[in-house]
Amino acid sequence: MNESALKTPFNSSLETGMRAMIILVTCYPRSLDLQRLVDFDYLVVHSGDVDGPESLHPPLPMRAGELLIRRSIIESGVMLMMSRGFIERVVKDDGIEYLASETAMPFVSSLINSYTKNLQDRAKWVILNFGDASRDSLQSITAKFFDKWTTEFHPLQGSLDN
Amino acid sequence: MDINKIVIRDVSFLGNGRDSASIKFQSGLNVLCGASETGKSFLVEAIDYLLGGGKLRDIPERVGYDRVRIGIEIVNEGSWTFERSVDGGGYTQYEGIIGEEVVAECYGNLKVKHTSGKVDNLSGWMLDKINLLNKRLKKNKSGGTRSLSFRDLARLVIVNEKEIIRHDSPFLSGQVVTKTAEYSALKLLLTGADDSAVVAIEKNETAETGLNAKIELLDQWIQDSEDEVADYGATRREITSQLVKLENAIVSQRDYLGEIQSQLNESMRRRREVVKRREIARDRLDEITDLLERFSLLRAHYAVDINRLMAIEESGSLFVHHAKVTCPLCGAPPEAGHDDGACDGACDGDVASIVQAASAEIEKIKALASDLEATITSLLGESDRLKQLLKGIDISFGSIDQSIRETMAPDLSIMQQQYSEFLEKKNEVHDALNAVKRLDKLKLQKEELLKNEGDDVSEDDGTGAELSKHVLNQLSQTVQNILQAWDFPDAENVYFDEKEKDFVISGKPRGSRGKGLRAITHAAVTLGLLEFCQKYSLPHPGFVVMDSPLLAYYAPEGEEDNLQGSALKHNFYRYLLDNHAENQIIIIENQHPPEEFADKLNLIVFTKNPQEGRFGLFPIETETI
Repeated sequence: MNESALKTPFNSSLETGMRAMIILVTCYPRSLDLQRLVDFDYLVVHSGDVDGPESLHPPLPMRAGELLIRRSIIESGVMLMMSRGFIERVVKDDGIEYLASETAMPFVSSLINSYTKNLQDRAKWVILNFGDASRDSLQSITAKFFDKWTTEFHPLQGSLDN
Repeated sequence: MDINKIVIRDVSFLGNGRDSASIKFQSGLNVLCGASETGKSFLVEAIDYLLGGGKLRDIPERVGYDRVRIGIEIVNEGSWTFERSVDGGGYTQYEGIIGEEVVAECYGNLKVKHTSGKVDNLSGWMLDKINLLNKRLKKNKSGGTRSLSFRDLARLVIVNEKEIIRHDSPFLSGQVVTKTAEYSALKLLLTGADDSAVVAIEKNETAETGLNAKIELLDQWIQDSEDEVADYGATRREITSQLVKLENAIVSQRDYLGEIQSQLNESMRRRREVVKRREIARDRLDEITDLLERFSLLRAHYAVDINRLMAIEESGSLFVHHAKVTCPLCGAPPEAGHDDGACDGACDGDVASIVQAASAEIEKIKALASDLEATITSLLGESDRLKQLLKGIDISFGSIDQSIRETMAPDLSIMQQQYSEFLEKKNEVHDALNAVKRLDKLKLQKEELLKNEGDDVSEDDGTGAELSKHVLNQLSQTVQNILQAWDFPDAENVYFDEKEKDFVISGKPRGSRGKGLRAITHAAVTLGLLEFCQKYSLPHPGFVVMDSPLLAYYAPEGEEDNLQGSALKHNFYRYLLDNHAENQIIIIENQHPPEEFADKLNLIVFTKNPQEGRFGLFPIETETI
């Protein structure tokens, strides 16, 4: 991750961290591991693709290695939120999971921007529908996403910014 | 050799709206008698007309009858009925005697015009039946011949009331031009030999035979041309006017065609232009639709981005106010600046500058979005204009296309077809006209040849036909026997005067007698010819029709030919009954035959009395509304 990438507001640590915090606040008191956070992050902004509410983000073509990049930028977002005490790390038998802290809920509630509100609605829908999904089934859903995007949006690749 | 005889079975007049009129005849003696003006003589004319005569006299009583039929029996062969329009023309032939039957099955058609050697005409058909087909008659002194026609015989066996009292020879019509042929016909009947050999035995020099050959060839050509013209079925005048009309029609049709063709070409050019314009407009419209689709995606994208940035801006500005806790990665205390440490600043995130960037980005995107809106608006405007334009183009295409497909193209093809039909017809008419012209030319050539020929005229009787004394004496004897059987006064010493071509009875030429005696002697000659032919088994039609042979009984010219009170009338009928039971004799008379013969012959009486018997040939026309 280089410096200029960090300074871009889109998918910056701030933005991905906020999304992770909203997901964790929504599923509180459950804690989620990083992989599940990455999957839910997709579903929250592309809910329309899995028969949910209208997607918040337009469909985007995927670039090679996107998944890996996404995973690391979400991780640094989570770190940023942890540095202000909004997210806590919990160590469990099967690995490290993350949990919203007590200060996270009031912070999220104080945000009045409509996009943020929409994020919270989508997060509720995702938790309700996919909260108990197994790790494998989530993987196969997101995998389908990627396949679809790579074929359908190929011609538009490059014409739209990420 | 058995010679076929012809028996006339009936004569019928048919017409729509009038009762048909029919007269039946039988073999043997038939007497049709009655008052004047009852159609007796007209019937004779009708028989003649039905056997190929030229024209049927127009009498008021026949109005309403448009067809006339004659039933003919060829003894031992069969019966046929021939129907002909009262206005001339050819025959419809039926099998059997159909009388007045309305519906009958047509057996065939026969032409009127005699053509040498052919039986597709009435004359040839009849001649064929009595073994006289393909006989030739000498028709001038130089040896020109023509084929025998049934008409040549008809005038020898059908003797009408004018003919029977003529002063001239009973064998000749009195016309100079046809004299040779008429005498040649007599010779043919009397000897059975025709003049086929005439040309060959002509002893004149080659120049003359050449001339004859020419005339014969011309005759053949004339015949061919006449057939051609007859087949076309129009007069010369009609043909000429048809040709003029057709030529005019062709010229105007050609002009019109050219005009329509150039109109069509112009319309098609316009249609191509319209189609081209429509394609351009449609392409541009497709392009715009495509662009608008992409732009609306872009617009949605801009909106999402602005919202996202505003959310980042909001959350970021709140975020910076929260105190740091211990670094989750390296455990450094919040106050320890460790941007360059192991956690690579992840726990700091440079939130303040992100917020700054977000605000700047929002402004940029807003500017882009507003540009986009302007572009979309102008594209939408262009699209509306194009749609409007296309509507107009579609309408003008529709109207041009429709007028081409539904009006101009079909019109043109109809006109083209008419045009070619006109051309075809014109060729046909042209051929007919050529035939007419050729006919004129041929006739003129023939006339000239004949004129030249006429210059070296005859020294003798002008017929060029000769009959042996022996044959003529035999014929004279036959006539004398008949006259004697009738108790004709002074019927001694009958001989044939070859110069006058008539008989001399007791030193008095037949033609010099009063009309009553001319009539009865004419009858004797006509019968004599029949008897002579039968005696020597020579072809003869086998029937005789005579109008008023007994004129001497009721209309004598004077004392000399008055036979009233004599036994001649009685003997006349007695003789016919005794000697001609096998032949058909049809006598037309004013007076009834003697009472004692009435049941031995077929007597038809026209009473001229509406209350009694048969009124006349035609029924009295009932009162019409």
